Formats: sequence, structure tokens, C-alpha cells
Amino acid sequence: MRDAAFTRDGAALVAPMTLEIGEGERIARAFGSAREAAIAALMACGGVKASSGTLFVDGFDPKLQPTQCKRIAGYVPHELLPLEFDSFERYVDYRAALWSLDPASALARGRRLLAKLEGVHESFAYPLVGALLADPKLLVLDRPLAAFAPQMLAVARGRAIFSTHASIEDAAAWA
Amino acid sequence: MGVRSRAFAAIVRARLRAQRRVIWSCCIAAALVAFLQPHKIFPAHDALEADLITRGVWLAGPAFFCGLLGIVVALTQRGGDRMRQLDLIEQSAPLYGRELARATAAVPVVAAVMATVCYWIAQFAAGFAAAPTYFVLALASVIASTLVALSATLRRGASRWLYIGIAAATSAIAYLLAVYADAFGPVPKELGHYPDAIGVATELAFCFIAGFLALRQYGEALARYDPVPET
Repeated sequence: MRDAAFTRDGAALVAPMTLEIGEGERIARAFGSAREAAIAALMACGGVKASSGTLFVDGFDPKLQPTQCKRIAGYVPHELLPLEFDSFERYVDYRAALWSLDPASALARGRRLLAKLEGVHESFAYPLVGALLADPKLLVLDRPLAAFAPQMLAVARGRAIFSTHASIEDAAAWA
Repeated sequence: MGVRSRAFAAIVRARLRAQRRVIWSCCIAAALVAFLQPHKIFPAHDALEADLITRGVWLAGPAFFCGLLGIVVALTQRGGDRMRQLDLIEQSAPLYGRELARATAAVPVVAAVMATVCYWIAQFAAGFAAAPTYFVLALASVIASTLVALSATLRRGASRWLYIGIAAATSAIAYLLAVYADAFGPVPKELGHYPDAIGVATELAFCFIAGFLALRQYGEALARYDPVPET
């Protein structure tokens, strides 16, 4: 992304941002506020369209090819997992249906990933597993907890990782 | 099950589960109001007035109250902590706006239909047997206003209130058509056996067109929508 910014009603919610992440690289960036960090994460995976500047996800423009971008980027929201997903199987089935994945192989892959996330609370482990089910090239994390950084980074190894943070200390744990 | 219908079913299931308490509350509220509402039809001076009063009493309760419930459930589809992660996951999934729109619209429509059915059953149990045609008319009005209200969830400030107003106006126009459309002129001879035909047909046509346009518009707005946190 080059000079990608997000404005609403004339107010700059995300200041112009330039970054390039290659395969296997990792960038953790701290922002001035939690809201700015949340919007920047959504912009990076094509969930929010940049108001100005250019942004490409593996060569695809989120404004013109949003579905292609969303197949390449996995997104882990900051918000906690809804209580409706009372079982791992139910959650994986939901995510697999949205990404058109085979339910049985998605569940097997999900269980393998979950086993590697031992010690990570399910509220944080499930969304990461869900984001990795479709084997994305880019993983975008919105304000992830610093406490689980080592386990979560180990599971996501090999792909480009972009995490947004509301404090420099949190960003340092993910850098 | 096809790829798209799987995603549709998954979204509807997850959202229905997330909103099951809201939906049951709507059903209970609808049943209570149906029991408590006055069912008396006041005496009229002539046949036309009696006809209008009867139609009004048959339709007003379910159309307005269940329409209100449908609008409320539609407004709870977006925003709030409970729905935020579902929203973000669905927005980050490789789905088109129209697919997402159909799936997210299905939930408030299901809630509104359930509330209307509960209202009708409770009303019947209370000893008030309205004509079944008016159940269909109430249902059409409730679904149309619910679909219009969905667009309000993607907007803020004055435009949000504007869409809520349009949803309420949809209910009111559907009611006026169903009750008064036949009163403006003589019923054609061919429809002599169906005195409500013009009112029923215009109300259903209006609700179908309003609901269809609202769903299309919601899909287009959802494709352009940026799920930015408010704070």
C-alpha cells in the first residue's frame, strides 16, 4: 500500500500509510488510537476501501476485486468470539461455509492448527484458526494480545503477517 | 447443497442463534399484544363505513405492531458487541454484497414472520377470527417494512432516521391501500364476488415492489459498506 488513507466526513481516520509486505515477512505497526488500528487492519485485508492512495493485495485492487483480495488475506478481528459458537466444530463449519471449503478437510485442518495453539484461550485461538483455514498468503491481525504472540506467530509462520496495535509495547511483542 | 446456499445457510444459522432471545421476545410480545388489543368493531352508519372499520381492525394491529418488531430486529443486525465479530467475519469472507444482503435480510424477515404468525394465533385464540386474506396482507406489509429498515443499519445520523421513516411509511401505505383502495370506486363487475380484490392486489403489489427494491438497494449499499468502528 502506498499513501493509503481513510477519511470519513472530511476527518482523517487513518493517516496516509505506506508499507509493503513480502512472503514470510512480518510487520507490526502501532497507531495513535484503537480505532485507527482497527481501520488500518481492515484496509490491509480489503474489508475497508482506502479513501486515497493505492492498495494492492497480491496484485488485486480491493476496490475492483474485493472477493479476490478476501481469498488472499485472512483477517483476525480484535472483537471477542460470539458466544453462539459453543463448539469448535460449529465455528469451523461456519467459517468453511463462508470460504467454500470442504467441511471435513476444514475441520481436520482446524484441529491440527488448534493443537498447535495449546495454552491460547479459545476466544483468541478460534478466530486465528478460522482465518487460517483457507490458507491465506497474508494474515492481518487487528490488535492481537501480546501475551499469545509466540504461539500465534508459530502457527502462522511462512506467510506475510501484518498486525496493527494501539501501543508501541504491543507492537514490539509482535515485531 | 451448492456453494452459495451453504454460505447463506451458515450466515442465517449463526445470526438466528445469536438473536434467538430477541426473536423469542418478539414472538411473546406479539402474542401478548394480540391478546390485549381491543377486538371490538364499532357500529357504523352504512355498509361502506362498516367495511372500512372491519378491514382496519383486522389489519392495523398485526401490520403496525409486527412491522415495528420487524424494524427493531432489522436494526439490531449490525452494530453492538454481539454482532460485531459476525459482521467482520462475513465482511472479510469472499462473498458478494448481494449474497451477504440476502443472508442477513433473511434473519429479521424470519423474526418478523414468526411474530406475525404468533400474533395471528394469539388473536384467533382470543376469539377474534379475522379473514385469512388479512393475515397474508399483514405478512406482506411486515416483510416489506423490515426489508426497507435494513438499509438504515448501513447509515448514520439523519439518513439512518430517514430510512426508519421510510420503513414506517411503507407500513402505513400498505395499510391505506389494503383498507381504502376499494373505497375509491365501484368494483368491476367481473370482480363482484371478490369485493376486496383491488385493495388486496394493490397492497400485495406495493409490498412486493417495495421489498424487492429495498433488498436490491441493501445489497448494493452493503457492497460499498465499510465496517468502520464508531469509536
